[in-house]
Amino acid sequence: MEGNSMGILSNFITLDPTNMLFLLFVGFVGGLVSGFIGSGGAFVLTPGMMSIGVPGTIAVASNMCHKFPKAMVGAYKRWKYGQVDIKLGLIMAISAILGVQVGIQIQEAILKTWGNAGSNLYVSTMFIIVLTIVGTYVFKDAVNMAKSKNTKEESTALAKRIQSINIPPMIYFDKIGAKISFWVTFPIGFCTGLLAATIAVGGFIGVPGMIYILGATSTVGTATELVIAFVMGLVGSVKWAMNGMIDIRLTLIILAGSLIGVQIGAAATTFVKPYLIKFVMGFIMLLVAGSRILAVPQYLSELNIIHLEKQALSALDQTSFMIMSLTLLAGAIIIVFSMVRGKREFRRTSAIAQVKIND
Amino acid sequence: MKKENNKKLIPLIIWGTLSLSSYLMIFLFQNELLFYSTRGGIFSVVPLLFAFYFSFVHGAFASYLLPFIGVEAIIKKEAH
Repeated sequence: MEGNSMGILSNFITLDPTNMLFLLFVGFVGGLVSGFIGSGGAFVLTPGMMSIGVPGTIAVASNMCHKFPKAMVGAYKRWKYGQVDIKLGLIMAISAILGVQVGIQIQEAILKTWGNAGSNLYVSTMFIIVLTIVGTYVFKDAVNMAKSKNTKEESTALAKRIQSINIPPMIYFDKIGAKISFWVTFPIGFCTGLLAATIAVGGFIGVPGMIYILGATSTVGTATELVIAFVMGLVGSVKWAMNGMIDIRLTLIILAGSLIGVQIGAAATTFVKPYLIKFVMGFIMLLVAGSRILAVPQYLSELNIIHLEKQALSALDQTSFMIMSLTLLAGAIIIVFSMVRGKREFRRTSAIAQVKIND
Repeated sequence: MKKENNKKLIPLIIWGTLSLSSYLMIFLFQNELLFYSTRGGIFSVVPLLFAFYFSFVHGAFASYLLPFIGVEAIIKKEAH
């Protein structure tokens, strides 16, 4: 292979039209979802890249490098819609950077000790644990909101209790409309960074943390997460780049799809009811967790912990891949469909308002 | 009306061409790019600069493309 003569590591995959198109599509859907629910399309992109043979560490690194410019574009758009709490974003981002540093140390140690299979197993296991717990909670909340027919979001009891904690320094966040102790925001930010360095999706802690613990609305939470993602992604990418782990080709293909997707996703949030954002978030989280569960036996077998027939492994692998792809497709369809419906409704109500004004 | 459409179409074509040709270059020189971007040290700026460059050029293209195909947000402004 020509690449090897230039000293390119065998860790980097050969690109052909099929996997390029796949990455472009995954990037688009990842962008769409991340513009809509705030937290990274990375949870879609990391497993997506791994499913075409990219090792876990390189998938995480290449993802992080595509995430910060995309988050920058998304944050700017949502700031224009008046949805971003910049102060909260920056405080969380600084805490998250510390978390990222710790997370990268853990990743490096695992890669050194157990190699790619160990790293893949670690990334997948973390995905399954976090997605199942947070996904179930978010999904339940969305269903309750939809059932109660109450379209207005209210702070949870937990958030109200947290806001009453008075340990200085206390900081006022104007988009939440309350003073919150730094000692509450710091751990949420730190864990967001820790998770981001591990699976490239900090938002799965950051967004629900801001909504359920700090009391932000889902629109403000998802928008502010983009500021955190930008700062954290930039710092993390510098560190991964120093280690030579970024496959810039993958980064750029994903960026091509996701920059378009993220802008559509961000626009869609202005057309839909808040519970729909949570519903899509929970739905995707749970299905991706399911898909990752099916990938675990392969990594266990590579580490010689279990022994499975090759045929069984490939069947599991294919099923995991199918679930992933269908989840992406379903998520994308829900977002686009609800945007089209919201837009039609908006046009109808503005037409009625216009008629009333004329009368 | 026609003039307004043209005004929107020209930047769309310019950014689109720039974005597409940049992508073409990437794939013509992908081995060289990968070689330099994974060397670490001072070469760490290579992947970061490429990510910034593409997000700027391709992002601008996307910003012109989406309103053109009818994707725009409702910006809720306070009534005064």
